[in-house]
Amino acid sequence: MSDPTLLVLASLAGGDKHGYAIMEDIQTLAGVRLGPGTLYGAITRLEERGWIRALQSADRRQPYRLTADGRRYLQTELRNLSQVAKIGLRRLEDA
Amino acid sequence: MKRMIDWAARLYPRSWRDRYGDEFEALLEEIRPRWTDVLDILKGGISMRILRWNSLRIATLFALAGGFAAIVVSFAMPARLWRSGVTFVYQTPDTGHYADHTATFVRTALNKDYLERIIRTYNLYPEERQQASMAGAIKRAERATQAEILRTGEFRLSFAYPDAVIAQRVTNNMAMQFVEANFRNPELATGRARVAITQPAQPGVREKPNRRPFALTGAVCGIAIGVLAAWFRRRRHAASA
Repeated sequence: MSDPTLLVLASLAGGDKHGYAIMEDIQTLAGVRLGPGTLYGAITRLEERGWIRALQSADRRQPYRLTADGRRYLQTELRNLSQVAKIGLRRLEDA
Repeated sequence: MKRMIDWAARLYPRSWRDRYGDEFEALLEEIRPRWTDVLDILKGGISMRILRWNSLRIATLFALAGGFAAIVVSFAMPARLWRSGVTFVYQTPDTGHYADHTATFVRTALNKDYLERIIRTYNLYPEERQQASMAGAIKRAERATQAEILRTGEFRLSFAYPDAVIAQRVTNNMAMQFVEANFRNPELATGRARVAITQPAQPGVREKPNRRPFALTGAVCGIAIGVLAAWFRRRRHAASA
C-alpha cells in the first residue's frame, strides 16, 4: 500500500494526529517515509473531500480526525485491498 | 538546506499557505530534513499551483510554453538560404494575359528535364538524392525557384540554396535557359515576347527562417496539449471525488 491518502487515513484510524505524528506513524506501520510535500498534498485532498477534518488547537501543529465518510471510504478500500491480497496469496500457494 | 526548503515552500499558492502554512512550517521544524524533501516540497508546491488553476490558465500557459519552445527550435534550425536573383525586361505579348503568358513561359523554360540536368550539373541536394529519388530533389528545386512579375513589367527570377556561390551559378544558368527558351519556343519567340537580362545575377541575400509560423504552430500545439491536460485533470478529479 503506497497511496499517501490511504496511508494518512489508516494512520488517523488509530486516533487524532498532527502532521509530524502522522508521518512517524506511517513510517512505523508501513515502513514508508512520506515527504512533507506528499503528506500535505494528501492532507489537503482528504480535507477537501471531507474525509478528515481539522480539530481546534492552540498549538501551530494542527491535529486531524477521520470523519464518518473517511472511515467508510477507508473500510471499502481496505476490504478491496484485502480481497486482492487474499486471492494473490492463494494463487501463489497453488502455483 | 533549510534555506532551500523555505524557498521551495514559497512555491505553494498563497491561499494554501494561508490555510496550511503555519502547520507546514511546524512540521518542517520538527523533521530532520533530507535532500529528497526539497524535491518533494518543490513537486508538492508546483502540483498544488496547477491544481488551483482553471482550464483557461492551463491552456494559455501551455500555448506560451509551446510558442517559446518552437521559437527556440527555430533558432537551432540550419535552414538559412542564400537567395540569388536576376531581373529581366519582359515585353508584354500582343495577345493573351500577361500573367498566363509568363507562367507558361516559366513552365516551358524550367521544365523537369532542365531541373534534373541542373541538379546533376551543380550536385544539388546530395542528401535528398541519396535518401530518396530524383523526383524529390526536383520538387525541392521547384520550391527554391521563384518567378515574379513586378509592377514595372519586369520579370524577376531567383533561386535559394544554402551555398551562396551555387545559388548564384544556378540563377545565372536559369537566366541563360530563359534566353535560350525564348528563342527556341516559336510560340513565345515570334517577336511578341522578348527576354533580355538587364542586371547581372546579384551576389545573394541571406534569408532568415521565418519564425512566425514556427511560433504559431508551437502555440497551437501548446493549446491542444493544455486543453488535453485540463480535461485529464478534471476527469481525474471527478473520478477521485
